[in-house]
Amino acid sequence: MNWSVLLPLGASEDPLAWMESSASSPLALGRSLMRRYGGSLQVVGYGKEESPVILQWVWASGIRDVWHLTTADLMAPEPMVEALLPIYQNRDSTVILAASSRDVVPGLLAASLGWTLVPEVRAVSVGVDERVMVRQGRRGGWQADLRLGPPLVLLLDCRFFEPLYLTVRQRQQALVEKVVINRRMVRVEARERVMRPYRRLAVKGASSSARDARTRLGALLQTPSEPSKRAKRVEGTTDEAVRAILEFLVQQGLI
Amino acid sequence: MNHGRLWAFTLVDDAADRRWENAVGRFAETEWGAKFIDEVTLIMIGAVPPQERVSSVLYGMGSAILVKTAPFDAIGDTIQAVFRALADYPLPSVSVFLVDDDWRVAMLGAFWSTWLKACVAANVSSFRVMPDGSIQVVQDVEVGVTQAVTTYRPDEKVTILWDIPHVSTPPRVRRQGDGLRLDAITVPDVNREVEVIRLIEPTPQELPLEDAERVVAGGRGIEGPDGFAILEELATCLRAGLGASRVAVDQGWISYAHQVGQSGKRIHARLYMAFGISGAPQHLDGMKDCETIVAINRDPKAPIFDVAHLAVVADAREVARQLTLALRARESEEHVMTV
Repeated sequence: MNWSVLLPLGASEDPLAWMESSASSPLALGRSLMRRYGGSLQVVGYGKEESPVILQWVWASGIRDVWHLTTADLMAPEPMVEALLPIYQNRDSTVILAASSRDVVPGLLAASLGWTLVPEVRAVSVGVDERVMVRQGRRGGWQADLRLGPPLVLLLDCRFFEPLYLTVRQRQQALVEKVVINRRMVRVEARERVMRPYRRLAVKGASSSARDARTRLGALLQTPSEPSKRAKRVEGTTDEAVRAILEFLVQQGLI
Repeated sequence: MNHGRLWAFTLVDDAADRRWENAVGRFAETEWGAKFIDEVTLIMIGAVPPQERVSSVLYGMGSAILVKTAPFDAIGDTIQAVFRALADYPLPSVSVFLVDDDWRVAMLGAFWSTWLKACVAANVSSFRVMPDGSIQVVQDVEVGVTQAVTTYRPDEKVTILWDIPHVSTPPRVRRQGDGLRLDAITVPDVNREVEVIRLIEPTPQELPLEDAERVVAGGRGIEGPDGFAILEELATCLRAGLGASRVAVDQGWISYAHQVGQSGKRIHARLYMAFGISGAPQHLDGMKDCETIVAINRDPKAPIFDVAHLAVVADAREVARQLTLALRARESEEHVMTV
C-alpha cells in the first residue's frame, strides 16, 4: 500500500504552531500507517512560495518523497489539481490522507482521478486482504465501520488523531541538513480578482440591535406561556410520579 | 436580460434531517440577483422528504428535482450516477451548493464542478448575478481580515460553494409553493467498493444535542456527577442526548458540550425532560422550542413549570432512578412479547 499525505501550506504559518496543531495529524497518521503496514509514504505540500520550513520538518521526520507545489493564486484550486494529477496517475494502490477542511483540492483531485472519497474518517487500519478499514463519523453521533479498496482519498476528522511529534534534535537537524524537495511552480491563468478588507454582510443598525435586545429581554420578561396553562401537574409519591410520566410519554407517542 | 438557470444543491441524510429547510430559507433571504436568472431549481440528494413537505417550504424556487439515493458513506460511483441522471435535465450555468458544517456538501460541489467542467469558487460568503450575466463572488481569504472579489465571465459555468450564514433566528421568507414543478428520480447505490461492516449507535454522551430527538437534562437538583450517571442510564433507555443547566456545568458535574441555554446550545427536540432544573430565563431560552417538555422539580414554584407540558413535583434523582427501572422493565416485557 502506498500512502500519500496532502498538506495545504499557509502563507505565513508558524511551523511550531503547525506541528502542534491538528493540521499535522495526517502526516503523523501516514507515518504510523507506513511503519505498521509497510509501503511507501509521500508528502505533497501545496501553497504559496514561502513555507518550506514545514517541509524541512517533514524531511526530518524521515520522509524522503517530498513535493512542494507553489502557486501565485491560492484562490484558484483547478490549476493546483492539474499539477497534482501527474503525481497520482497510474498509482492504483494509493491512499491519500488529507484533513477535513474548507480546502476543496482533495475533493477536486478525487473527482479528477475518479477515486472514491471518504469524509469524516476517525480511524484507519488495513485488513488482511489489503483492504482499508475506516471508522467514519455520521450525523447524530452515529459511527460506521467501512471496508474499502484502494485507490482512495480519506478526509480525516483531525480531532481523532495525534499531531506530529518531532524531537528537538530532529527539528534542529532539519534546519542544517540538505533537504531534497521536488518543487514545481503551478501556472495560473490571470483572473480579475480584487482583494479588499473584510466587510460584514449585514451591519447592525440601531433598529436591528434594538430588535435583538428585545428578543433577549423577552426571555427574561416572559409571562407564563401557553403550555403552562394546560400543563398537567403531578404531586405525590415517586411511584405516582413515575407512573404519570410513563402514561404521559405513551400518550404523546414518545415511547 | 436573463441568463439561464441556477441550481441550488442540498443534501438530506434521513427523514429527521431538517437542515435543508434552514439552508433553503437562508438562500431565499439573501439578495443574489435572482431577477437576472430564468429559473431557480432546488436539487435535493439523499433521503428526500415527502413532496408535500418540500413544496410547502420551497421559498420561491421555481422547481425541484428530488434525487432519492443511498446515504453518502463515500463519494464515488453513486454520485457519478446521480450526475448522469441529472444530465437528462437542461444543465445550469450557475450551481450553488448550500454548505453548512457538513464538509460532504462542499466535496459534492467539487465532484459536480469536475463533472460539469465548471469553475469552482469555494468559501463564498456572498455572490451576485450581474445584469450582464457575469457572476461576482466574494470569498473569505482570511476571515475577519481580507476578502477577494472575483468576477466570472457570462460564458463560464460556475460552481459556487456558498457558506450558509450562521444566524439563530429562523428564516423569514416563507411561501407556499403553488404551481411548482417537482420531479422525483431514484438512483440505486452503485458504490460497490464500499462495504458497511457495522453501524455503531451513539451513547448519550456522544449524541449531539442539536440533532437529538429526545434530551434528558439535569440541573442543581440532580446533586452531583453521580446524579448525571443516573441520567445517563435513563438517556440510554430513551435513546436521548444528555443536557445540563449552566449550574451543573459550572459545578464541573458535566462538560460544557452538554450545556443548554443562552450561553450553551439551543435545542429543538421532540421531548425535553428537565430533572432538578429550576428554569432560569437563560436556560428556558435554550429549550423552550422543544415540542414536549416534562419537568421534575421539588420546588412547586420552579419557573420551569411555566413552560412544561407535564409538571412533576418530586425528587428529581429518585424519579430518574425509578423511571429508568420502569423503562427497562417495560422494554424487557416488550422483548418477551416479541419473542
